[in-house]
Amino acid sequence: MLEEVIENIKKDSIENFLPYEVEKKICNTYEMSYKEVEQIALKMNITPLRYKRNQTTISPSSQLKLLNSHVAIVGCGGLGGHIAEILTRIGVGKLSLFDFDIFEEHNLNRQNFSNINALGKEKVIVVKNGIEAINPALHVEAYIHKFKPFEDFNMIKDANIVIDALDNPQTKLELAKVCKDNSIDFIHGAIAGLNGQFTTCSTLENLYRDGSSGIESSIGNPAFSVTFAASIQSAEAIKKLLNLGECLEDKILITNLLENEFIIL
Amino acid sequence: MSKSINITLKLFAQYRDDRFKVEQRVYERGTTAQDILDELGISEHRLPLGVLMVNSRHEKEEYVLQDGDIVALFPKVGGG
Repeated sequence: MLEEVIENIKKDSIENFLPYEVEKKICNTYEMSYKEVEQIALKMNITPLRYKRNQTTISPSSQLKLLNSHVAIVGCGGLGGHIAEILTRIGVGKLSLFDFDIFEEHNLNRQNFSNINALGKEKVIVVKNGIEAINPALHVEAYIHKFKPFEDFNMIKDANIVIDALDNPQTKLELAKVCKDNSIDFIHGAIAGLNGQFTTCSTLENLYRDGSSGIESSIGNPAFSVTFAASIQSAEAIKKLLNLGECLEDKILITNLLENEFIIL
Repeated sequence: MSKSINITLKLFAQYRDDRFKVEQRVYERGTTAQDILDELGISEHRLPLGVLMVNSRHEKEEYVLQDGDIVALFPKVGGG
């Protein structure tokens, strides 16, 4: 059977790209998942057509590595929803999403996948449906759950990367500590108004003296700050997974979109 | 030894509103970072503090300022 699948992939791919319709046909014929078909294709250096514009930033072997990766996104509001979509489109194969909340009207200014019809629905379920519609090779675990880092570590222990998309310093501090103690790569991001801060694989004591709220409680979070921050965190995650470039390890990036200041501490 | 010290204060983000970006100020010897926070009206209740750096090193509020120090204050940012 594997030989037949390989033969089909070879025969029906176009210039080393595998179109979705071909994948779908192979999945149906051989009762395989999209992920399994894509794994076989990428090992043959044939890339699913959806990733054509990832190249040559991402090679077929890196694409396979992403497909076999698992990222946990803790918090599925502003940052989490956008990060989930970015990682889906770039081709991370497994995402675990955590959030206990439902979409409300005041989320519509910035939160990905929120819309009038989604109001009152659980965020993780709406986001899961949204990203599965983008990429059927993705495996998504959605937990309607208020994540408590010290109690719930087992739920993220298999992740290659944990992304902090939480909205409160107390849980951020705890998540950073749990990840550090267990040597899991951790990517912090936080926003308030036009300000952002980011760090990778660090604990957060230098950013948060205690767990109380920051200035976001009085100045809110506009859409472009959220998508900007989600992009920085997603880039950190991909660089970590693929061992590319430089990450913000033991560094803090402070951003101020009002005055276009970008400072590394 | 002079009783006063010269300090450069750098404020970021919302701390600049109705204040300044950078300013040179003279303080009495023995002044702490907390004294400056109090003077600027920065408290947990109002515009809580995030990063406090002196000469590009993380410091605590109890830090006793030295002549020529550069103090940088960033508000606490915790939204998602």
